[in-house]
Amino acid sequence: MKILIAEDDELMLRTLEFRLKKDGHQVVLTRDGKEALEKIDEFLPDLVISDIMMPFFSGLEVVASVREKYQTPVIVLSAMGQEDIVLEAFRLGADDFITKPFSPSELSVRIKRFTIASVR
Amino acid sequence: MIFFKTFLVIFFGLATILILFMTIYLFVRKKWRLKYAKWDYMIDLLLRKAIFFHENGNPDQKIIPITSRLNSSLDNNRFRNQLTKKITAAKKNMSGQAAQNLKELYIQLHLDHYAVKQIDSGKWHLMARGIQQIGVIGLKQHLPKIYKLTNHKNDLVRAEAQIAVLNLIGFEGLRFLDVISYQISAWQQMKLLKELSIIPHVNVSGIDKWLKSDNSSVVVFALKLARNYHHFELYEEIIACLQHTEAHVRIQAVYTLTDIFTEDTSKKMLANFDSEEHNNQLAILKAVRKIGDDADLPKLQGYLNTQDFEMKLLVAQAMANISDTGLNLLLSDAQAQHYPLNEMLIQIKDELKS
Repeated sequence: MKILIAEDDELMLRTLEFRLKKDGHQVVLTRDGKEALEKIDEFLPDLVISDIMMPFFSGLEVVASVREKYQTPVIVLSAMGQEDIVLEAFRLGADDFITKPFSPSELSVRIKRFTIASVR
Repeated sequence: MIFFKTFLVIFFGLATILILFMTIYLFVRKKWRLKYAKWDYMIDLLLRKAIFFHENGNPDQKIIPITSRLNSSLDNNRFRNQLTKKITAAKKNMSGQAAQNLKELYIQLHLDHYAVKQIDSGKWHLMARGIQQIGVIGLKQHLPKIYKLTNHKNDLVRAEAQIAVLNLIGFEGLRFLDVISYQISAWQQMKLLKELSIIPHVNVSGIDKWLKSDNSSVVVFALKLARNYHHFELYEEIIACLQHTEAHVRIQAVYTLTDIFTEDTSKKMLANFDSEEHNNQLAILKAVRKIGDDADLPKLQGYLNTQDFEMKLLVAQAMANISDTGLNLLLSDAQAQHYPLNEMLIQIKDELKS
């Protein structure tokens, strides 16, 4: 599966990359919303994982933009206490969310759901 | 001429010194930047190794292997600070086994000893940093030390200690409110509430006691807790706060009573209206708008005569929102045909439609 990650925390980004590559996915890393939007058009991922709080364009803008052009599922990463923003992300078309702090294994399991759905 | 030559010598001399200084400064800065980048890389690798330690075929192994280079770098203060910052930042984002592994790595590298040293140093900025680390990593064995600092004379140390005890033992940590003698700032109260919102909720005991505290900021915070966690059983104690000597407590009581109320609440608020400060009067009107009933209408109508535009609008909004009777009373009021109430009524009707 081709997965694009948008996350401005370098360690988190690398951790996710490590985990997803280990699970056999092809991964593209982006460090802000603007770069994510550019790479989505170029890379056409099967799944987008986007943090909400990012420079230039927020995760909400990433969700809205993806939904405007593609059917690609989007998982948003949010911090605790951002329930309102998560609801807004769902309204814009996000498919799932994970609240930080989270376990990388939890993310793997969530992604598996989308892998199964895409195979079907 | 001699003067000009001396001037030139001094000028070029100073320029040379400045260029030399800049060159050395840029060189040193570049060297440090490269060093920090190298450390960053090294630390990221270590943290990734720690996060996935148990998944990489080391289920029974307890010690995360550390390179000798990293071990020797630990003696360097700057490296240690960078490492600590990254471990705590990663710990905040991770849960489950990954978070546990980061905690074990922190202890394995004896970073807790350094944090305790910082706390014992007596310097407020180091103390605050050490306390924050212990709280984020979750080292409960240091709770007694941290707990004492929740009433420290330095506000930043105090603030970090209060957050840390919540991180360490959750809602139980709020017992620092029993003894705190310093005021808790509005900002700190927000931070404490935010911290509590991410901790699994258990029934908070002690709010009744805090509502009677001599520290007015503790009373305000207790009112916020009662509101956020719906403590209806504290209704009488909250009502009593409407008579508190400090206006900021009374206004918070009004806010809390907007969520925890009975049919008499609006009457009790309006009974205090005339003796209240302007801001509190506005807050009462906003509350009555939400929780008032027809019995409040005569009193509200009396306040329509005010010359204060803001208050007049709030009185009118309250009456219109209470019931149709309130709206009709408002429309039949002698002032309803005259400015400013006639303009206000147009706005209120629009609001009611939406």
